[in-house]
Amino acid sequence: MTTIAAVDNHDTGPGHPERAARLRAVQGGIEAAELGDSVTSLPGRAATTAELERVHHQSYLDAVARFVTGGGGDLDPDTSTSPGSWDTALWAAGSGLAAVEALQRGEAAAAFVAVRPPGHHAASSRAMGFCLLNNIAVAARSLADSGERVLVLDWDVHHGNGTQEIFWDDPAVMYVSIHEWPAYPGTGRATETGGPGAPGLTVNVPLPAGATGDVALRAFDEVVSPAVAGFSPTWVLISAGFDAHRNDPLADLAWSAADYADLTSRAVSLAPVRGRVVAFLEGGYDLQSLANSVGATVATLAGRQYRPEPATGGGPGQAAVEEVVRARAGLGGGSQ
Amino acid sequence: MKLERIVVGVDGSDNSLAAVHWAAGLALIAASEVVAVHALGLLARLTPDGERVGSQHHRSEIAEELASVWCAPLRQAGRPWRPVLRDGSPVVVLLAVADEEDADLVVVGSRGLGGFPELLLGSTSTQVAQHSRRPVTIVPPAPPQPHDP
Repeated sequence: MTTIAAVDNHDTGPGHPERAARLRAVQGGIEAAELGDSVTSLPGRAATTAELERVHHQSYLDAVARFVTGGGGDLDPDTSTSPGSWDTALWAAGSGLAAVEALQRGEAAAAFVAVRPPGHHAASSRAMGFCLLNNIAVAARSLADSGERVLVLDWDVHHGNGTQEIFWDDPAVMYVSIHEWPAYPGTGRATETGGPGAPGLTVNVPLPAGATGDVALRAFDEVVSPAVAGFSPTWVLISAGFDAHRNDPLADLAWSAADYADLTSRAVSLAPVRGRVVAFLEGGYDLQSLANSVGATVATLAGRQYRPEPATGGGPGQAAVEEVVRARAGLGGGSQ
Repeated sequence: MKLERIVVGVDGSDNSLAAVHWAAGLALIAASEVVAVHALGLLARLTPDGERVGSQHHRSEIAEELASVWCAPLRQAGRPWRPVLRDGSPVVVLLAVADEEDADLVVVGSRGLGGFPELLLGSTSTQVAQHSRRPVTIVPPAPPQPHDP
């Protein structure tokens, strides 16, 4: 298992929940899991312009780079930047590629990319939701361009509108999201199932406030796994946000660290062989919950067990899962 | 040409208040309905002290602020109007609602919260103007009054 240490000069200003302390919490959570030699670290690298342009428009990259390096500021009411944010964002996007490259060299069974800023709200030409560059999309596109079939599984509590937009018509990348609804960013209905070039390859499972981990697992078993079976991915990338945790200040789902361990286990089972799973840090803004959840996730990726809190159950959302099953009944899953 | 429905972006800023005033005045002249749109971002879930706000309570408070304070000029104009509260980023939400409502005109203040006019992407108002499939009016801030400092 490999984690990626981060370059972090991204200052979002006082009081912003997407802050540098999150990475310290991530590191603390991994240490608390006491995984020893099961976890090694790589320093990561910066993404190149060519690698970014596979996903983002050149004019967007030029404009954001100029704005941020010229002093920074707010790209939208949520997305604050400082002069160091651009280099940090390049590092975050490149570190996902570095993780993929390490796995391709056979250096680990799985990888966890601990970087900021997060990425899944960043669309091809839009920064939003704390995100500048879509880290996971950059890695997914790189793999797809080399002939791989990539599953992007997103369990951040907020729908990954950017990732969905980028791969909407791409038959080589399947996008699956389990998220809270209604919630920011307002996308992610079950009826959003993919464009003409990739029908059925977008899977959205919107869950109501209060939904517990058992509901997410049921969604995985009854919606996600059947859909993914028809797609047969060769790689599994995870947008691993931890803001569905019950203590998170930015949302209202009710999961725990153990639920993330269980979801990770299921995600790993979707990869065809060992060494083809990469998890990318997205959200998660309560530091202790983030630490616990990352520790549980990384332990599972390393084939170990660490459950600092019990799994959750009994919350609402069963009906929402059934509705998604019905909405997708005529789609035939991800068969291509 | 018709001007039955005007969509105006509202974020509580002085600039958006100028836009609401202007939209209200136009609605009076053209006998239009006005739809006032506010986008709920991620940070709207936190108080200024960084404390969490429960989603339903938060939505209710913002909805009340939108209806009673930010849209006061619309009430005073006496034309039909209604508020729309939607999750998402301001540009995306405003364009989506304009399409859903089949708006004849989109009105925005010249500088909303966030955005930066020198950016190629432009401020919120510039992005709306660049991407809208409907006519857009960008309303400058109200001029300072003689007694203003």
